[in-house]
Amino acid sequence: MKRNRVLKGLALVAATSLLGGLAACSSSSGGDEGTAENPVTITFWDNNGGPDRTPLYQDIISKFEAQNPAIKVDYVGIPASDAATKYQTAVAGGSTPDVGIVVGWMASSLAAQSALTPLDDMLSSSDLNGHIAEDALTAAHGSSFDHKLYILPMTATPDTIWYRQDQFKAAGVSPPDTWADFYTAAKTLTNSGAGQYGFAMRGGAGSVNQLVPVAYSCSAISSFFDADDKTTLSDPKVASCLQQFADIYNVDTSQADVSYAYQDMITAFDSGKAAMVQHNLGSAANHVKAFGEGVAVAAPMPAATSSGARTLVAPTPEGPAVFSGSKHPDPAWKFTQFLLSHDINSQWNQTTNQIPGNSDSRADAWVAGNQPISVSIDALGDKANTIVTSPLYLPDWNSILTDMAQEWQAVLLKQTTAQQFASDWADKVNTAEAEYQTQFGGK
Amino acid sequence: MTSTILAKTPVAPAAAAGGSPPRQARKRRGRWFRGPYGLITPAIVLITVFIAVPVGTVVYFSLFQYNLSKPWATKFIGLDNFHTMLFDDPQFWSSLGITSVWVVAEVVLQLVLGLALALLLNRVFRGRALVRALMFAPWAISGVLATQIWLLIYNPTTGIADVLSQLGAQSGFAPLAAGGSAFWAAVIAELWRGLPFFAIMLLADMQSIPKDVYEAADVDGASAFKQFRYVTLPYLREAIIITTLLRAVWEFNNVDLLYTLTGGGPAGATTTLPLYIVNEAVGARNFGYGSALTIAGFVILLVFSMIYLYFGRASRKESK
Repeated sequence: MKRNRVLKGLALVAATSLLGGLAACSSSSGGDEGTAENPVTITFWDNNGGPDRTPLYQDIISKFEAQNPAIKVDYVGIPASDAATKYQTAVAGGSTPDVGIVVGWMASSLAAQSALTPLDDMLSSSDLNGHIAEDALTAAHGSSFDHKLYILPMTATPDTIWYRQDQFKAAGVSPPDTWADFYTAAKTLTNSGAGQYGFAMRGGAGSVNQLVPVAYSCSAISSFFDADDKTTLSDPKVASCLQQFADIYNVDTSQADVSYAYQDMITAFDSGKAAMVQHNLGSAANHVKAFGEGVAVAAPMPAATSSGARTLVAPTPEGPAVFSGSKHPDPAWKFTQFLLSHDINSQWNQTTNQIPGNSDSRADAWVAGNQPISVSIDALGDKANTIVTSPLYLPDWNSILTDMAQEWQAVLLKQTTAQQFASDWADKVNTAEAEYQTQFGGK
Repeated sequence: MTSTILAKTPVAPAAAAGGSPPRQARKRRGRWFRGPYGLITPAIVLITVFIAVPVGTVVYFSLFQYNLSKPWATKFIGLDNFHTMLFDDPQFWSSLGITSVWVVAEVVLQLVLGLALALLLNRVFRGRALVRALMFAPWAISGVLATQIWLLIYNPTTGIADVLSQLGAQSGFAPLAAGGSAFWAAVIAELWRGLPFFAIMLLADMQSIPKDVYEAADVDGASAFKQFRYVTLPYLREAIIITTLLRAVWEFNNVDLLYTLTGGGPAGATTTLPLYIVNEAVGARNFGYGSALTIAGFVILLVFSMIYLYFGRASRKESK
């Protein structure tokens, strides 16, 4: 009996101490975070970690920490091909970062799961208000299911054709201004016996994302949906363009291209084994590093051969998002704004050779002298060109792109046709669009 | 062990006589009853937390339309996911077919070659310890690291294809780029990694076979093959049953090497059931359907294990 009393007494003391400890913890977490009295550490995920971006972010973070000594930023670099999966897994597991770089095609799905914090109100009371380029903001709004702002666009970058100017000149072929030029150049610059190919194709992870610009620039169809809200992907012109594109696989590309993800494709181009590659401006720094300035040149997606009309897909925004699971939302927002500030946005875009999201950064002298960026800005601003907007707002969009990747490999391996592929793709998009319309009642 | 404890447990004379046991004896018996339950409680808690709860969660989700990208569309749909899987999803059957070929190819090749390797390493030769250590190395490294090694080997510009092209064979051949070759290229990579498991397990069992059995066989004039057939193999029966069962389950569930080597491609040529589950649950965020696929995998493995162990036991009885 006496022993029981002693045990009960000890249990009471232990429970009281625990409560006391909790109370102490809760009182210490009060007050403004990120101040000398209350320093914090936030986690930042880079969606494209690697030798190019990691040192850049580390430099930017050191500048931020110098200005904000009470906020420490833990950098986590994720390979680009795994980023979407990592974010989704983190959302499912409740282990999201405080801030993460999110690309437009990932945003809607994450936002629909309430994983991202809407930034509209925060931006309107920020010093950045009025300093984000209007087209970049529009692209960012258009990438979410409810058209709220979930990512601050550091950049909005369109797909381009990168080509080796030196090889084109040596072979006497025209730059890929039209799709006919593109296929002529791919054929002329291929010497498979020497392991040299005209084009490096993305056949693995991320392949279908890049088929959207191919389909619309080649077919010159001017809208992603028709008047009945059905996607134009099922148009025979799209199937024909995709088949022509698939037919150069293992002819003017290497056999390995069927499994190429982003890094493999860029490595094939930068190692000199391919004369052209289709990618956005994000890989510009790699090309400069590989060949020096002015060797790899950017051209807008080729114009349709028949009409000569140039149809471009609206650039995809990319930038920091504050995750709703963040325990330090204020420091996270502070860091997010820092990434979009004039100097930092300029540094980031000059290093990565992309179009700045900050309007002040766009006015910097380096932008005018940068060939890939100038070409892209001119092409997007040319009134003669048509801009098609892909449905980034569909929460299913990224899943559909991922889901179609294996069928695209089947097209490349001639196990199915581009017609079948385009039809299946269209079915999925139409189903997703109908569900979206039912749920949200409009775009 | 239990019978020993029971034998040593003192029995109160009154209780033994069938009368009302004295208080002290009742207390002791109560403690005896509480003791075993107390001892197995941690195990029950751990099994509940780490097995029953996750399995229960998967069963629960499998009855729902549950896609993380569309939280508003989540609803209870009963057995619809299973109906879709069995009757409307050719990819399920295709992935199951690929899984079956994968498991059979891996287990058979690893068993046959592992046994041959174990027989070789059971002999006495100079440097045997070093060879044994080296042989174990592939088993000790992670699947992702093994993938990196085999990606370099299969790379058309750095690997075996490059060597072949320098010898005048077809240039630019990429083993992972064509459906047929990608599957067997992955089989070889996994074979390299899994072979040491069989070799080590069988070698360990081989060394426990008494020498005098072989000596008796020698005296009776048994050839080396007959000694292997009638002495070595019967002694290895238990080890072979357990290792093949374990390996079959592991190979069925293999994700790391296939995911990093081929990602299930090209065009689904290496998409086994676990990879299909990854694509559905992680890639497409379709947790409901992914859970139904997981239940299917679980049931298949459960039934396979029961049948395998039943036949293993039956053949053991026959041999006795």
